[in-house]
Amino acid sequence: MLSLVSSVRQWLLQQRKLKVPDDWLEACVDWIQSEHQGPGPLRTSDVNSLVYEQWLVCDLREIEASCLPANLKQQTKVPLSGIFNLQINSVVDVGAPFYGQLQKVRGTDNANVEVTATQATQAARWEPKPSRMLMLSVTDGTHDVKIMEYRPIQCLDVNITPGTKIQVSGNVFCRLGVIMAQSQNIKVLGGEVDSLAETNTPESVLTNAL
Amino acid sequence: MVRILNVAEKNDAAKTLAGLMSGGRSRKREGFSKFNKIYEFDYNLFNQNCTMSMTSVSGHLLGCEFEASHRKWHSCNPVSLFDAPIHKTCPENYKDIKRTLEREARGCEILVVWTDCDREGENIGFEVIQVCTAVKPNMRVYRARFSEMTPGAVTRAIANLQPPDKNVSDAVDVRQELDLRIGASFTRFQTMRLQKVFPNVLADQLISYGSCQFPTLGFVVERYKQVQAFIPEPFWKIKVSHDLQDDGFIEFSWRRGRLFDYEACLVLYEHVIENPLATVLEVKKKPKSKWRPVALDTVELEKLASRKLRINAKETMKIAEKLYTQGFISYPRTETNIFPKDLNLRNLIQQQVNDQDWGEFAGHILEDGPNPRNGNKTDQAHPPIHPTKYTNGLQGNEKRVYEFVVRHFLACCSKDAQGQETTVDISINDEYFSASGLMIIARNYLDVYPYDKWTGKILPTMEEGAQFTPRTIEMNQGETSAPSLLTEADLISLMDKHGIGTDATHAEHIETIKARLYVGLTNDQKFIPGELGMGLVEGYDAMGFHMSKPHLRAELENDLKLICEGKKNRDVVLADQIRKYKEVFVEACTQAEKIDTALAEHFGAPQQLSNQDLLQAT
Ligand SMILES: [Mg+2]
Repeated sequence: MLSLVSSVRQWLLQQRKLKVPDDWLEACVDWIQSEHQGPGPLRTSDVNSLVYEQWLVCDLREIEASCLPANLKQQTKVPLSGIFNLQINSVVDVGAPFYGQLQKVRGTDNANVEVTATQATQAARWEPKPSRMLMLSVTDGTHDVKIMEYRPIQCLDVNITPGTKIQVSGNVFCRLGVIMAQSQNIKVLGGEVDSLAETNTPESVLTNAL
Repeated sequence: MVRILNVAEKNDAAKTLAGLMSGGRSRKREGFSKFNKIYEFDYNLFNQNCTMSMTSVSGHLLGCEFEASHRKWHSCNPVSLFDAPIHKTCPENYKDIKRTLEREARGCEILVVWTDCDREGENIGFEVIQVCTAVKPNMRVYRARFSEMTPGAVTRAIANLQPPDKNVSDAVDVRQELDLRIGASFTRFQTMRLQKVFPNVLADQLISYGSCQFPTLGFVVERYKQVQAFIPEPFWKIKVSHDLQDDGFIEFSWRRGRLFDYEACLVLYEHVIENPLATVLEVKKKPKSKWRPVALDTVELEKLASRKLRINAKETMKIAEKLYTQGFISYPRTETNIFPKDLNLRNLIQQQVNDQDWGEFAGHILEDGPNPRNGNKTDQAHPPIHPTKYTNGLQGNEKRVYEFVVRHFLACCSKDAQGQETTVDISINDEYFSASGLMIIARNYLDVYPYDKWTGKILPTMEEGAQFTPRTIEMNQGETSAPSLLTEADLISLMDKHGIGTDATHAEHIETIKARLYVGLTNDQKFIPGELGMGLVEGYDAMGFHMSKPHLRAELENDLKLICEGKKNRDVVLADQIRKYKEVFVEACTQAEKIDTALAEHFGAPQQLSNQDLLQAT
C-alpha cells in the first residue's frame, strides 16, 4: 500500500508536475482500491490516472493544497517561476461593462438601443468598442490570487466551467496579488467543481460585479 | 373643340400646372368650392387643339365609413366592426368639390389625373375617376406621371399619358379599410372600458388605438425603460499626455480602452510608471476623407431637418410640399437616393450660380462636372429630392428648408472633403497608447454644407524610435452613462428600420401619439412616454402579443407593397389581416384586466365594473 501511494506520488510529480497533500493522496488511493470490483488487481497505471481524474474534480480548498508563496497580495511585485497548479473559482471579462454583458447572458439585450439617427460613418457609438480582458479568481487551495489576461489567452473564455484546473508556468510577474499572464503561461487541465459551477455562473458573477 | 378635364391634388398644384402648360395665360373661373378654382387654357394634345380645364380636390375626396347601424359608439359590440359593412362616401365639407367635378365632367370627353405620384395620390385619382365616370360613363381616363412641377416634367408627363394604376390604389383601399376596422374596434373597446375603470382621470379622454401609432409609442416606451433600467458602472483607464514644443499638449489614449476593474487597472498603471519612458513605435500617415452626403430621400430629409434645422418632421414635410407645389423642389416623398442617368444635373446646378451665398460654389461644380454620390435605394417612381427652380424670395422656415435642399444637392454633386490623418503609436513598458491628428487638405463639399463639421488637429512631428518622458501618466476614473432618450430623428430611424408606416406617414404617426398625450417631449426635445402611453403598452405587453411591437404592422406594410407590385391579391391580404387582428382583439378583450392592472400603477386603484358595465365594455 505505502509503495503504491509513493509510486503514484512520483508519477504525479514527474508526469503531471503536480504535488498533492499526502493525506488526500492516501485516502484517495484507499478509496479507489475499495471501489475496485474487477476480476484482476488494479494496475498501477490505472491508479495513476484515476487519482489524477479525482484531483481534477476535487475542490482544492477542501483538500487544503498549497503551492504558491504566501503573502503575494501584500507585495508590490514578485517574480514567479516554476509550475503552479491552480483552480479557477470564477471568471469575468473586465474589458466591457458588466451591465451589457449581463443583458446578453440573460437574453434581454435589444439592438434597438444602438439605433440613432446619425449616419454610421460619423456615429460615435453609444458604447465604445470593448477589448476583452479576463480576470480569473483562482486558488491553490490555500492562497487566493487573481490572474489577469495581460496578453490575449486563446484557451480561456468567460464560459469556462468554475472549478477548472489550470497550470501556470514560466517566469511571470505577480503584482498586488495579480498574476500578469500571457498565452504561454497558461495550460487548461480540465475538471470542475460542482458547487462552484452552480454558484459562480456567468450570470451570478456579473450580478455580483455590478 | 375637344374639352379635357384635368384634376390635381390641391389648388396650389392646379394653379402651378395650369401656369406651366399655358405659359402663364390661363383664365380663372370659380367652382362650387371657393378653395378650388378652375383654370382654363388651350393646349395642343393628341395632335388637336383642346380646351383644358384644370381644377383640384383637397386630398382625399372620399372617406371610408361604417353603415349608420354601426356608426354610433354604443350601437354595437366593437368586435362586430371587423366584419361590419363599410362604404366610401364624400364628407359634407367636400361636397362642393364633388359638385364641381360632376359639372365639369359632363362637358368633357377626356379626364387627366394630375394627383401626386405616390400611393395616396393614385388612390385619390381613382376617387376622382369614380365621381366623374358616374356622371359621364364613357369618359376616357389618363394619368399624368411627374416628379416635379417644371415645364420639362409637365411636357414629358402629358406626352406620355398612361392608364392609372389600379394595384397601387387597391393597396391604399386595403390600408384604409384595415385602419378603420382596427382603429375603431380597439379605440372603442379601450376608451369605453378605461373611462369607466378610471373615471377620475380618463372620464373625458379618447384613448385611440392605431396599428402604426402603437408600435411608434412602443419604441418610445422601450427606450425610456432602457434608460430607466440602466445601471451606471465605474471604469478606469490610463491616460498619457505629452508637451508640444510650442504650446499645449497632446493626449494619448490607451489601446485597452477602459477597464471595469480597479485592481486590474492599478496593476497595469503601476507597471507603466515603473519604467515611464515612451518609445515611438510607428508614425502612420494616411489619407482620410469625409464623405459628402448621399442624394436626399424623404426619411433623410425628415431626420436631417429635425437634427440640423430643428424643424420637426411634420412641419418639414408641410413646407417641402408647399415648395414642391410652387415648383421650387422636386416631389418630396421619395424613397430614391440614386439620381437617374437622364436627369440633367448641369442645368439644375446652373440655376443656382447667381446666389450670393452658394452661387460661386455651384459655379465650381460646373467647372469640374457634377459627380453625385448615390445611395442604393430606388422606388422606381421619383428621383431624389432636389431643387428645380432658383429663388431668393422665401422667408423663415420655408427659406431654411429650401436652402437645405439646395446645399444638400450641391454638396452631393461635389467632392468629398480630403484630409490626412496621422497616427502615432507609442509604448511605455509594453503598454500601448496612440494619438491621432488630422490635417484638412481640401474642404470641398464642406464649404457649401455647414451642417457637417470636421475639425483638424495638428500633431507634432515625431520620429519612429524616438523616446521621451511623458508630461503626465494618470489613472482616471469614469462612469458609463445610459443611452439617450429618443430624438424625433431617432424615432424615425426606428420606424424606418422596422417598416412602421411609410416615409409618407412617419411624421403623422408621431404627431398622433403626441396629440393623444401618450408621449411628451423633454426640454431638449427628447421623447418620454406619458403615464397613459406607458400603462397601455405595459398592459398589452402583459397579454403577451406585443401590440406595441412592430412585426404585426410591418407584415401588413410588406403585403401592401406586394399588392402595388401586382404580386398579391387585395382581397386575400384584407381577409388575412382582418382575421389576424380580430383574433388579437378577441384575446385582448378576455385579458382586459391586464390593462387595468398596468394603468393602476400610474392612476391608482381601478373602479370595479358592474356586470352591466362588463357586458357593455367587452
Ligand atoms: Mg399627397
